[in-house]
Amino acid sequence: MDPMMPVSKLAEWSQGSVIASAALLGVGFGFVLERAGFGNAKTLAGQWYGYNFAVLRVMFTAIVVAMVGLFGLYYLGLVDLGQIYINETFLWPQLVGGLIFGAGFVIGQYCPGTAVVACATGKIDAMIYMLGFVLGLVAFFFAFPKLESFYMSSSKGRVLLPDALHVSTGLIVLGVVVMALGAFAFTHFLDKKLGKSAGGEV
Amino acid sequence: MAREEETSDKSAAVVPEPYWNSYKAGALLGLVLLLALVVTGRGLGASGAVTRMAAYSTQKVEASVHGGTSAEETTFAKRNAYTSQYLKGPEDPLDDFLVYMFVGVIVGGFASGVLAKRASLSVTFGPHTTVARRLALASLGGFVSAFGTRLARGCTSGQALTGGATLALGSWVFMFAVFGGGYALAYFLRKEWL
Amino acid sequence: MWKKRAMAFAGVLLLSGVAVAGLATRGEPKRRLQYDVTRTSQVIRAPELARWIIEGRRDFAVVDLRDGAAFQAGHVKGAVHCGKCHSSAAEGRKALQESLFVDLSKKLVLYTETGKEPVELPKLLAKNPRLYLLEGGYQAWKNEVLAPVPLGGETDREALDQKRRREAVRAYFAGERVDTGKAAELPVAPIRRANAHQPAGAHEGC
Repeated sequence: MDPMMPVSKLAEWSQGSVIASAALLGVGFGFVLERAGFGNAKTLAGQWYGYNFAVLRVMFTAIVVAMVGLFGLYYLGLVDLGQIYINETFLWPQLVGGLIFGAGFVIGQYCPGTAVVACATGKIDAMIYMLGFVLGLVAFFFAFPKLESFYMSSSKGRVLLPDALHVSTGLIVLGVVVMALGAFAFTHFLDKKLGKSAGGEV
Repeated sequence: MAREEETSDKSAAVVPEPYWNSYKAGALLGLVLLLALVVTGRGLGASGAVTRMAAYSTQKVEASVHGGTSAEETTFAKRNAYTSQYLKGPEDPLDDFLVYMFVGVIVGGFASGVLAKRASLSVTFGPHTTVARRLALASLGGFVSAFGTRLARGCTSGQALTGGATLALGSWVFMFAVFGGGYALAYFLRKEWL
Repeated sequence: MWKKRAMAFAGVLLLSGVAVAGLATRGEPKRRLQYDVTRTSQVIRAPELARWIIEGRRDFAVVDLRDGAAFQAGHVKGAVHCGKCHSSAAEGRKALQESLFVDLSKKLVLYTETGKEPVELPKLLAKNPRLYLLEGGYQAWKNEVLAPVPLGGETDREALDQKRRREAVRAYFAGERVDTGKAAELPVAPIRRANAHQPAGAHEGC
C-alpha cells in the first residue's frame, strides 16, 4: 500500500495551506502548553526544585505519544519517514548548546516556547525574558564568525538513535517508553519522599 | 484579623482554574506534535521563529538608519554568515512555517489563559526574592538561552520534543544536556524559587 | 482510584511500545515503486541545466541515479548521488534523509546514463509537478556541456558568440579558472549573493 505521505501535498496546495496548518498547529501547541501550566515560571521551576514534576511528565508523555504514533504509522506503512524533517546531528554544538540552554532555563525559568505562552497571558517576566533572548541572539550573530567552526563541527547528518546505537528501532521505541515510565514512577516516589517540605505548590 | 479576612474574600473573586493533569496535557501535546509531523512533515518549534524575526529586524533597522532600501545589500545582517541565510534572495524571512506557528502559539496561549482566567499582567516570582531580581535574572536567562538554542539548532520544542519523538541522535543528546546543565546550576539559584 | 488510572496509563503506553516493537520486526516497510516517469515527466536539456547551475539558483536539486562507480567517475556539478533510491527502501530512506531532504517545493532534476533507462519512483515524487528528467542523461551532459568546443574558422558573428558561450560554460564545469573576460561570456550571470557562505536551510534548525 502506498504510504500516506506527510501531506507535503498539503503544503503544496497553496501558500495558504502552509500558513493555515502552521498557525493551527501553533494554536494547539500554545493552548496545551498553557493548560499544562507551562506559562507559569513557578511550575517550570518546580522541576528543578522538586516540588512540581510537570515538566518531565508532560515532556516525556508528549515524546512517547508522538514517537509511538509516528513509528507505529511508519511500520504500518502509512507514513513515509523519509518525508519527515529529522533534525541534523551536530554532536558537540548540541551538547554544549544543551548545557548552556539548561543553564539559561534555570536562570530565567522559561524556554522560548513557554515564554511566548507566558507573554500571551501577561507575564512581564516572560516579556523581559524574550527581550534578553533577542539580545542574546544579536550577540550570537556578532559572535558567529568566531563560533562558526565549532558551530559546524561534529556533523553526523540525520542520524536516528537506532542507527547510532546499532539497536533495532522497535527496541529503541520500547526502551524509550520503559525509560519514560520509569522516570514517571521516580517522580512519584520523589513526591512522596519530599512531601510538601520543599515548599510551594504541588 | 477581620480586615485580612475581608480582603482575602474579595481577592478570591477571580479564581484561576487548576492546571490539567500533566499526563493528560502531555498526551494532548504529543497528539499535536504527531499531527504536525504527519500532516506537514515538520514538528513544533519556537526559537527558529524568534531568530528569523531578530535577523529581519537587524536588517531593517540598520538599512533604515543607513538610508533606505539601497543600503539593504551592505548591512551587517546581509554580510553576517549566520543571518545571511535568512536574507538570501527575494524570500521574505518572515514568510516561514515556524513564524506562522509562532503566531498560533501566541493565540493559543492567550485563548487558554483567558478561558482559564489565568491571563493577567503580573510578574511570577518566588516567595523569597524581589521583582527586580526576578526581572534581572529573566533577562539574563533569556540571553544565555539564546546562545544555547542557536548552537543546538533549536529549543525544547524543536529539539527535545520534536527531535526526541523522531529519535534524532543530536536531539536526545541536547535533551540530556539541558537537564544536566539545569540541575548543575539549580542549587545556586534556589533562593529565587524556594 | 488513582492507582488504577496510573496502571491503565502505564499499561497503554507499554502496550503501544510493545506493539510498535512487534510491528518493527516485520522489517522496514516496502515502498511501492511503480511509477515509471521516463515518458511522463518533464524534461530539461543539458544546456539549460548548466545555466541553472551557473546562475546559482537554489530552487532545485540534481540527483544522480546511476551506480556509485559511474558517479565517482564523473557527475553533474552539485549532483547528489542516490543510486539505490529506487531499489531499496532502507537505502532510499537513508539517502533521502542524509543528502536529500529535498524540499518538495524545490525542483528535482534526475538523470541516468542515457536518459532512456526507466526511472521508477514512489508516488509522491512521481506526481511532483516539479520533477524533471535530464534529456539524454549524463551522455547528453558530456556531449553538450563538457565537450570541448573548437572555435576556429567561424566567420558568422552569432555562431561565434554561441560557441564562445559554450566554451565558457565548458570551462566553468571543467573547474578552470574563469577570468572576467570568459565569465562575461557565460550565458547567465551568477546570482550575486552578498555572502557566499551557504548554510543550507537544514542547518537552521528550529
